[in-house]
Amino acid sequence: MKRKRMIGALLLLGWLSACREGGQNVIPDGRDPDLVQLPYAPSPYDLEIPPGFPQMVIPADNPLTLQGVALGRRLFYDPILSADSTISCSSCHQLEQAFNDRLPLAVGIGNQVGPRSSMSLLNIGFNENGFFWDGRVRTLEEQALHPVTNPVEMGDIWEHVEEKLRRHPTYPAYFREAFGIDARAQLTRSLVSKALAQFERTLVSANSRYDQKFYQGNDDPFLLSDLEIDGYNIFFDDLTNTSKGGHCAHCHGGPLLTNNDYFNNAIQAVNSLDDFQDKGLGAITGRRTDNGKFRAPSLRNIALGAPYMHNGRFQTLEEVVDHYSSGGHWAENVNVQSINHLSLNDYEKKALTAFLHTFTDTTFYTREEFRSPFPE
Amino acid sequence: MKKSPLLLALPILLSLSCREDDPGNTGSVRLDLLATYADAPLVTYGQDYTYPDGRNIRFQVLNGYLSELVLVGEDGITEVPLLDALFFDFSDNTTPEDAVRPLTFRTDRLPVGNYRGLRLGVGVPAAMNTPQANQLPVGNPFRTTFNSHFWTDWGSFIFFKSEGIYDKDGNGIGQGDPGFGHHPGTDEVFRTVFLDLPFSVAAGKTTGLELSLDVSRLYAWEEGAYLDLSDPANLYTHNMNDLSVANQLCDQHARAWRLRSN
Repeated sequence: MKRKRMIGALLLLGWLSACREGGQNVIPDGRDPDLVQLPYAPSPYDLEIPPGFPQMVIPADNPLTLQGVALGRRLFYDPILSADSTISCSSCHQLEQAFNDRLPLAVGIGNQVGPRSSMSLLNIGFNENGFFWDGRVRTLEEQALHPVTNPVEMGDIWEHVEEKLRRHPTYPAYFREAFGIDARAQLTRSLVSKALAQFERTLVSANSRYDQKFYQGNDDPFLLSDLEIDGYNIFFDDLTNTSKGGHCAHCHGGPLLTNNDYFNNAIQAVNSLDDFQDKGLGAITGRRTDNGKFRAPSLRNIALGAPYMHNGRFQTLEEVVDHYSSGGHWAENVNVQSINHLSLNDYEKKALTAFLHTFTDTTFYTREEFRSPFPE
Repeated sequence: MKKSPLLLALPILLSLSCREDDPGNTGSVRLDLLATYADAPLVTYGQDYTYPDGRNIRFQVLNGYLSELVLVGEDGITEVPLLDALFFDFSDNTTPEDAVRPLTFRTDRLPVGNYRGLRLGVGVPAAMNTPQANQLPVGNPFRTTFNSHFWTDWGSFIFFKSEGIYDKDGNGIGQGDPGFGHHPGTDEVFRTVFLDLPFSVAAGKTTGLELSLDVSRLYAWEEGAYLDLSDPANLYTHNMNDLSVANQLCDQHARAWRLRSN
């Protein structure tokens, strides 16, 4: 009898140890009992689309949910995604800096300096024309996969990141709540990128004075100063009210303040299209005439987003205006709006710069839901 | 036995619905769009063309909207909708090979018969030419291109864009030459064009039509006149107080668009 008990105890011990995978309890069908006991009842996230904005294109397989957005926010601010836990998405995309970092070139793991500046994430969910400065990926979900494995950004490998998240005391439960996983093995990079994309789609900014004036029907005659209105006329080539068109809105018009297209905006001197050190879009498409083309970024909160251009070459908005006023460097593919000498006088430059400040939405930074969920 | 009117109507309804799906009664049209300059395939960026004043001109951007495309029946009255709207973009025709590869649009289930030609609008029809076009469903050409073509200050789409560089000093295109950007927009410059070409749509067959835009004809007008690009005032069309350049360019659409059997 005693021997039978001993055998029974050994069998039970054997079964229990067989059911532990990666240090976790699993049910024989592969599910984790501590996960499946948690509810999976995601609630839709009601994303408010501001007046004048298009409906956001959200993939059918990644709808916004409260749980998914919350998880994405947590991952966004968590350095767990980097090899040495020093860099998070928020290292380069800081809320108070227009989701930028105020550096000419991005700085990643081990203080390595990247080849380009960080891009603002404001209203990124409305972008339908590729991501990064060179448009190399088509979706936010795909975009979120890249920095983790970039050796000068987060410098990790996905297998390692997945393992860290699976072993983490709380992340598996968050993934359960957001995506219904019932085993840690189902916590994959695909779900990480989906969560990050969900959070990024909520980063909607639409409360600048520009928005209020032109899209929200605010008819306060003093909302914009006379100087700013003169700047508006230059920005939008309103030749009824100004003698000089700045041609700015060709690339930066509409509620998004960008057409999300790619241009050589004449900031680089080259002898031929083959001479661009950073080929930008051309490196992606393989088309020579795309060499030196980069995305026209949104000008939303641009006053807070210095330095400017993909390589951070201009320190101030005044320098940017000076560049376009004097005309840029010639190249076969230069954007024609960028090479004509606008010859703006000092007042016109001041007016244009003042108008650029009307794109600033300070209310964006007070929103708790965009801040880090971790204690300071 | 009294028959229900619904039952009587059913065979008629079925027969009508069968007509549309029945390949015996419908055919297809494939519309191939191309751009040319003086009848040669238009290559953007590296290729120079001769402007009417003898100087060189080079194109970088050429795109725009065609809308309300209809097939016009033999009687000249009947109209069969072909496409509500399309956006054409020849800007990436950077090689001779690209330039002869057409943008293709296809419409099926068109009534079999003889047709007299194609009617189309160049630009955005007034009903769609509003900021609300931004709210159209994904895939609609007006929504897809809203950010690049809706000009907030006018409250109008830019109907087409023709951009490039003009050899102002006559010594070849290079540093110092001005860019030009012709962006006609607003309801006033919407134009309807009828292209006369008898063709047939046969049952179960596809009729190929080649629709081409010869850009030289936008700039070179009748009786030797042309848009004088040496005048800086003519380099851009963004003055709502003076739509003369925009109107002059848009008046040429009837000459610039051509339809051929393919």
